[in-house]
Amino acid sequence: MDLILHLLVDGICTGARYAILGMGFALIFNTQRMFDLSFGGIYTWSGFALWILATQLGLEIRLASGMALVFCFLLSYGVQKVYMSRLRKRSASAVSVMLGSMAIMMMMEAIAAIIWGGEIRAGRTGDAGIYKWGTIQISDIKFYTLLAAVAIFFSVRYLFMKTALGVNARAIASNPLLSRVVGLETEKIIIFTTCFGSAIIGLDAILVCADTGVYPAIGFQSMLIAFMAVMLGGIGSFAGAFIGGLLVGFVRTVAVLQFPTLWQELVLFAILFLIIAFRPNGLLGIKDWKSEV
Amino acid sequence: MASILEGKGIDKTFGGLQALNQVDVSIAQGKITGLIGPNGAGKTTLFNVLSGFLKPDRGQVIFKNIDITHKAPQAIVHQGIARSWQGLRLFENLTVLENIMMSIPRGEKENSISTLLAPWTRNKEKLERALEISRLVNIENRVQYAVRELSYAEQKLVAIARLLATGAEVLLLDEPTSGLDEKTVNQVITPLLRELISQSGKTICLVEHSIKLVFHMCDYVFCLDEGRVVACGNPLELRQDEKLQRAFFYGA
Amino acid sequence: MDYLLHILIVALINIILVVSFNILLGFTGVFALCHAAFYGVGAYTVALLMKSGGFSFFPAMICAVGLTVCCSLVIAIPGLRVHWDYMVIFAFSFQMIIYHVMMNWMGLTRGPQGIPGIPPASVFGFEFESKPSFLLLCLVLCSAVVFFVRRIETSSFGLVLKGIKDDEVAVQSIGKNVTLHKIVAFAVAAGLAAVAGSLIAAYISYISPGYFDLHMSVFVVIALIFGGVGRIPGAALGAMVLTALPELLRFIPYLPSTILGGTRDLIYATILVFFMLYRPQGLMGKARQ
Repeated sequence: MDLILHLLVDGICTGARYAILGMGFALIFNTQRMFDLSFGGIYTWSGFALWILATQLGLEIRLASGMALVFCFLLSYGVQKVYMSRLRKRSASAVSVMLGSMAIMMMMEAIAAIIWGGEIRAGRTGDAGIYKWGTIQISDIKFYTLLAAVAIFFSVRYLFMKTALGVNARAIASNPLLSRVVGLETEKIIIFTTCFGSAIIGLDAILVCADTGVYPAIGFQSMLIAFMAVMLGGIGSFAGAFIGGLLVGFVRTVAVLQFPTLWQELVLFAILFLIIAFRPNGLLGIKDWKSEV
Repeated sequence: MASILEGKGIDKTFGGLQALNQVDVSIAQGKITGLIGPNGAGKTTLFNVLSGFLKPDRGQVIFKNIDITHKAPQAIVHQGIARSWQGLRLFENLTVLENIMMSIPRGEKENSISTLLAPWTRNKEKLERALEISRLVNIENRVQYAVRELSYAEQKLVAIARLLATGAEVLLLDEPTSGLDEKTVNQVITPLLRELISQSGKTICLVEHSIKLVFHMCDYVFCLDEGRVVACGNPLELRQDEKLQRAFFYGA
Repeated sequence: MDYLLHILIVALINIILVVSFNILLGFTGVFALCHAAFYGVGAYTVALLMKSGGFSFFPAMICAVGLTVCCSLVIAIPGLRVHWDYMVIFAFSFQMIIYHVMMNWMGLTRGPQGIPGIPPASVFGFEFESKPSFLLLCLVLCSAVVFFVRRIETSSFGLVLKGIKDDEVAVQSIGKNVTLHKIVAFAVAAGLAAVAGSLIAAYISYISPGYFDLHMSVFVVIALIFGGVGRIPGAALGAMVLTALPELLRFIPYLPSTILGGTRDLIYATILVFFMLYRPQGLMGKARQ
């Protein structure tokens, strides 16, 4: 009984983590309507940023986290301005954006691998704080992750529904051409939303670094998870990304019960495969978001 | 007038907008039918439904007494209905000759292996046919050029050539003359359309903005407005209707 | 000298991979990140048939091609009916599934330990054991593949593929079944990748899943983009240059072997970053609209 409870809690915590990733990617994807995967590289670097700030430079962990988050936003801005913006302008094709952003991610991870090698670097040296309710206990990081996930969900929703920026971003998402005609500065809004989404994703990197540690390839793996969360939860739906992330995290953790560890990865990809085959728009996705004729 | 292609009770809604509302059209065999109306009236949408690229919410498309409403677009081409596009949709990176050759249906001598492995340049008959079609639309001297190197007018001619190459009996032409100068229209397009009717026994339906052309060429005209057929008849009858005059026929 | 032969052999095998991938990305415009999966299925089939089944090389290769083609249909048939964006993810998840199957199906593939001791290829009793003789075999098969793909490029079928790359809807309006064409293109590309797989299995005589992962699929993409998307000579050029590049790294003095992998990845990534922005058609490709 205890085991099941423990698994459930674990599942929700992992789900919260994945939900954060999903929401970040949903922001990026919903505005751009294209697969900009550069956030994978930003993830890795955000994690390493925390590690350097907290352990190498010895800054207090909360301060380091804040700085790492700012770094994440700035790095994302840099990547967008220097490369992705130009790429989008030069060739609006989805293949180009996907390939180019993938290349940026690979590049960032390769540099990280060269500088720091493949070992896992954790951002926290001391012991983790523990929170307890009855028999359930979770580490402080996991608790913060839960809080963060919920906070992000509601604050982003508010931002997108109520503020002018949010409304504009949604306008671009549903009709980029018309938005441009009407005079919205689409590229600026895309950049800002992408940086914002990357920052959300970077937050997870910081939390993970403080908790278990990061390594160069973690960005790619997190990118995959973000991807799956959005695909499962529904393309074009922010709430869908949240739910998708929760589900993916939950399923993955609980799958331990049935499947040996090695097969867990396969289960996830098989789920992704089946979703696209039978319900490409995900659970809450918008239908007809691409029309041909 | 035997009707070869009919749309019956066609409804089509996009999002909140009703693009087609109980549309009934009937295209007579061996004649030129015109489809006119203001922008957004639903003319291209109707073409899309008739050619299978859009499925109507309600209604049927009947071709030679067969219901083709839910057939795949490429199957409909094989049955005998081909359409051109307002935006041309040519294969820009391929040559004119390649664009035309591709559209010619598989011959009897071709089997799967030859389609996959034999160079298309070796198919003498198809090549002859392609060149013949290019001669018909007056584009023969440009066949080796890539389509994107051509002028807009030349590209429009290639679009028509590609349509002819399919060998379809019923040709749906979406604004075939827009952007063309009068000389080309009068000396190439109009005689070509007439020849297709008289010599090749084709049936043609045109979407056009040029009222002059429609009245000049068409045997029967449908007027669409906001997704409904508001009038139909031969040009002479329609011209005399005063209400329609004011609404549509400015400058006719 | 031996080393040079080794590079040439691997380069020829990679040429087969990239040229076959060109059918998908270059001719048809289908971006499928699962080519290494087909490569792997082909390699594993040949390895198992030759080692445990006593097959000789060509029969094993033919079976490998057949099996890989069937695999490709599993992904092509559902995947190509949906919009492009989904196809990319679909192919990618297929790649990951195949990789994980290779890693975890201990009973069949021995997982990460791989399959050692694959017997050398022999045709009508002649064993291609020495490097020069295997090079010859590779040369023959590679030429055959290139010839085959060239014929496809210039055929009516190839024309339609190129049309699909430009405008799928227009292809439908001239009466061609787009989905069918894409499925056939997929099957052919996969089958040819299996040929490459057969060669690598017979050459290295030991294969493991790590060689057929996403990394490899990405390598094929980068090689094609570098050399020239849509052009067979471009594909060959890309394959040769990108095969040679990591080998050249070995000759740089003072480069610690620990960062060899990262450096190689960095070079590949930088090539892709640069080319996507400044020369997406590759070295030998033609600029497109």
